[in-house]
Amino acid sequence: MPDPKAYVNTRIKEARLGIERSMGEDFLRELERIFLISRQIMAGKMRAERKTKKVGSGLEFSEHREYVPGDDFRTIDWNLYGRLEKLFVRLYEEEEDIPVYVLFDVSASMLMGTPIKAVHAFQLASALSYVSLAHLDRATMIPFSASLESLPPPGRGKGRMFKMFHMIRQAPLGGVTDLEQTARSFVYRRPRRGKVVVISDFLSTRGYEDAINLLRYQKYSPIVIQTLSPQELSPTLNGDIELLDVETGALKSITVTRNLLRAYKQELTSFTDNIKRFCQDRSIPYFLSVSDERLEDLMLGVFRKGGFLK
Amino acid sequence: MSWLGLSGGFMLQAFGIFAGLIGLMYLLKMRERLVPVSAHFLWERVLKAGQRSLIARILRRVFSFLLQILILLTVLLTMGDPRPKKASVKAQRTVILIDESASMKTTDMPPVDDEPRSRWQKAIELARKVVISKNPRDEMLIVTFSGMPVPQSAWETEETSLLSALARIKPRDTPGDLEAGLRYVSEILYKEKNSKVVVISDGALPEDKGLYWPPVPKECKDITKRVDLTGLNIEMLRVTPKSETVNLAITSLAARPLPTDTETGEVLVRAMNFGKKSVKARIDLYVDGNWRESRSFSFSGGEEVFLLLRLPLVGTDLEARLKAIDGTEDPLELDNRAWAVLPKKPDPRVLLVGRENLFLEAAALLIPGYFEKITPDEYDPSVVKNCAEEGGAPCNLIIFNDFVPSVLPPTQNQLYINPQGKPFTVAQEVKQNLQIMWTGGKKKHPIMEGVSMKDVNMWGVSSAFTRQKGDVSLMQVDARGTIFGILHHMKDGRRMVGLGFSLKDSDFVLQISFPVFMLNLVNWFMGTSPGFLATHPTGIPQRFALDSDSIVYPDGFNLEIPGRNLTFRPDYVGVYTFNKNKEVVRKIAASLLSQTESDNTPKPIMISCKKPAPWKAPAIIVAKKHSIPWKILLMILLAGVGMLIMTYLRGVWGAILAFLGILTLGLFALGLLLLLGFPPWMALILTTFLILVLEWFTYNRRITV
Repeated sequence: MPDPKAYVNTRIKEARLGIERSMGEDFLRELERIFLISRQIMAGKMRAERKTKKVGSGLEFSEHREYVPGDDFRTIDWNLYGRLEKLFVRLYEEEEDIPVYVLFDVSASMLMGTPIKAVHAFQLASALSYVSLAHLDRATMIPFSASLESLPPPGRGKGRMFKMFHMIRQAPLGGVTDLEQTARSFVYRRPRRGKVVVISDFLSTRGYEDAINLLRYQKYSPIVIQTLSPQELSPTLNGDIELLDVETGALKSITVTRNLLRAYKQELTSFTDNIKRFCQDRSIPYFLSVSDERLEDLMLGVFRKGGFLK
Repeated sequence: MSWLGLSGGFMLQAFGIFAGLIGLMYLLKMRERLVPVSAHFLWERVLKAGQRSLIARILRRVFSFLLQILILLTVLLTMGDPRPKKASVKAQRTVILIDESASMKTTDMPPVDDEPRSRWQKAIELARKVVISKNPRDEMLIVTFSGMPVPQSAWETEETSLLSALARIKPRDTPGDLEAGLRYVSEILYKEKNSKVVVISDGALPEDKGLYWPPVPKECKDITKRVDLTGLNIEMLRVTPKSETVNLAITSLAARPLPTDTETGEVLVRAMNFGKKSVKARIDLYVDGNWRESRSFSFSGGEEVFLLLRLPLVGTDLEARLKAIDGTEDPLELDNRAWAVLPKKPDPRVLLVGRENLFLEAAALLIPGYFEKITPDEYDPSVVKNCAEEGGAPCNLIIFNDFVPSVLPPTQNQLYINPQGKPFTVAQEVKQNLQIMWTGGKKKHPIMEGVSMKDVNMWGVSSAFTRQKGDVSLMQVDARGTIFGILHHMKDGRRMVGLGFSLKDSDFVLQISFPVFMLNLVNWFMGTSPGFLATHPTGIPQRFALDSDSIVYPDGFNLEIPGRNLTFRPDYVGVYTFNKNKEVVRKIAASLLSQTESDNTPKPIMISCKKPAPWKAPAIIVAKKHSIPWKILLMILLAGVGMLIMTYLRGVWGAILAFLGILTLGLFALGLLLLLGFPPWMALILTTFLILVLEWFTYNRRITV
């Protein structure tokens, strides 16, 4: 029987190799192509800048407010004073960039599958971050497993990608998934309100509901992307086997029959449907991503569905 | 139970080794394959919904192991080739006696796939059924009978050897002789207690071959018993034709030269209609393959037709073909053709050396061909070269009358009348009147045929011969070791006939026998004996002095002949060519020419008291071996299938029933195969295969986890 730890270490090495390969020029070119696709989809809509509810020094008129001492005289609406003989100041909508936090799961369960789910999650996170940065947003990529090791501040510009790549190279892979703890450690650091993309397989006994709810209560806009491998969706097991849980190292003897496989697939479908329903009930965008799916196709789906670019 | 394959000890050893290996593999199998997954909890939810009995899992594996051991056991048993001990103790010896006579070639059996079938094909089919239905230890011998019985196999227990022997046999063109076949079998099975004879025949056998059939009825006790069948268990399997048989046949064919015209031959053909309705037919004669003569005629059922035809004696091979010209189908074509060898045209060149004798010369005038006479003074051995004719051919017969030359002539054929010296050993001369009382001689010799010397008187000088080794006395008065009469003597390859008396001192020349004697003598010397047989009936042995080294059969088969004398039995119709140094020295024609065989209407085999033999329907034998207890087998099958279906139940019972279900189905398959007549080793191997398939298909379908 192979040593479970040794097995996980082997998978970690393979995942690192896959991530490292994804940081090459070819991948960056692919990211640029995805960005261009996103521009086509967004044509006719507002440009990259986001409107916020803040009023300030923007160019577009928002509303009037009574003058209070200390206000800038240049904002007083003298025409209105002429009609009403009261001092009002003109308020303009302030234009502001929204930070995008892309949290992607690198726990031991994400090391499974062919292609490896963690590599696929990294590529997905990179693509989302790149598109955000290209749209003049601030963005950051944060790997997680049991919790967040660090929370690098979101930055601007495409050049930021290389700093994020460097940070990811240093990040540890493996461990147990704990979404709630991750969300908690994220919100405790009080980063600016923005979009939080959570990429994970969500295959954790500790659940995902509390984590998503916590982000929502803290006024973040979560987007959920569930990543599964083809082997998980359609396993080809048969006969007497011993299952190894790569996160916990627990073993389980079972005899896989066709009936059992059918039941497993039904259970998995039910599991993903529950996540989807949970997100829909809370107007949270949800995407299911298979690790062998083309990145371009997935991103197209994300852009078309909306919620990410608006 | 006895083992014909591997020994019991060897099987035990092999079982120990392989069972150990299976056990080791089973233990290895217990170490389950490790499959890493992202998380357990989904699988656990599924397992909660299904069966999760640890005992059931263990039982299933243990039963799987037991089945593997069982499979190993059946494979080893298969290799051991088990046979029931009962069969080995009471093995039966069976002789299959098959009629291979000419009538078996009759094509009047019900067709199969629109292909007409002969009685022979049906007989072989019956014989195959008998072989296949035998018990494993039973010994069988295949014997065929036609003119004489021929064993076609050794005593065999293996079906394959017997079946291949059956495939090799071909029917002969000879009449059948069941009596000879049964006599042979009765000698083979003499005092065999557990024995049986299975006779397969169409019943077209001579009626005069009466046989006792056991038990011998009281009224038959006084009849001479020719074959002792007492104690023999005889079964008769009859090849029954589909309808009434029609057959036209040539029953005789003979050819001879005309005595008065040596250029012409006379051919006798006899044909018979063995059917019941009238048929128009034609006989065609061919010589060396070329048509010569035809005669059309009509004969009613059972009628025989004689035809006498004349042909020029040119060529050797005469063939007569009989054909129905009114569209009647003849199912036996073998007897529609007959072959004969035309006699040689006689061409004697005779030289008479001796004193004048008008009676002798008058008799010699009857001899066709060349005849010349000279006095003893004119005789010189060189005269023989041209037979006293200027530029003539050599003599082939010299007659010395009251004269013996000092040097024997080179001519092969010589007649000495009253030789008083060599080449015969003359014991004494008798100079007195004799009252002839012939005491012996070979009266059936061709020279003496039709010659009566009963009233011959002699006086004067006569010679008495001392018989030498190889001499043949044709007519004799035996007196104190000497022979007085006519002697045939061979010396240095010359054939000599000596008359021990002078013609002038005897009234033999005045007898009517004398010209006959002279004619016979010349014919015999020239090889044109009246006993010449133009054709030989098949199946009857012929004895020849060997003057050849090989025989070419009608189908082209070449047989080398060792030895000096030959007893040759033509089994197939046609012309046989005897060669010496690749040159033809003799031809023999063989034809069926048997009324009893051509009359291919099946008749009951009669015992001496005219009691028909008990024919048995072949189906009885086959049905006896294949009585399968279907009800029991069906119950076993249903039980097995039921238990196998129950394996889809959950829990321990599912595992137990799966095991029992597979075992029951295996038992069903084994029983069925054995009852269907499969050999035990094949039944075991097929059962093993079935168990493997069932185990393989159901292992992961059983809900035991």
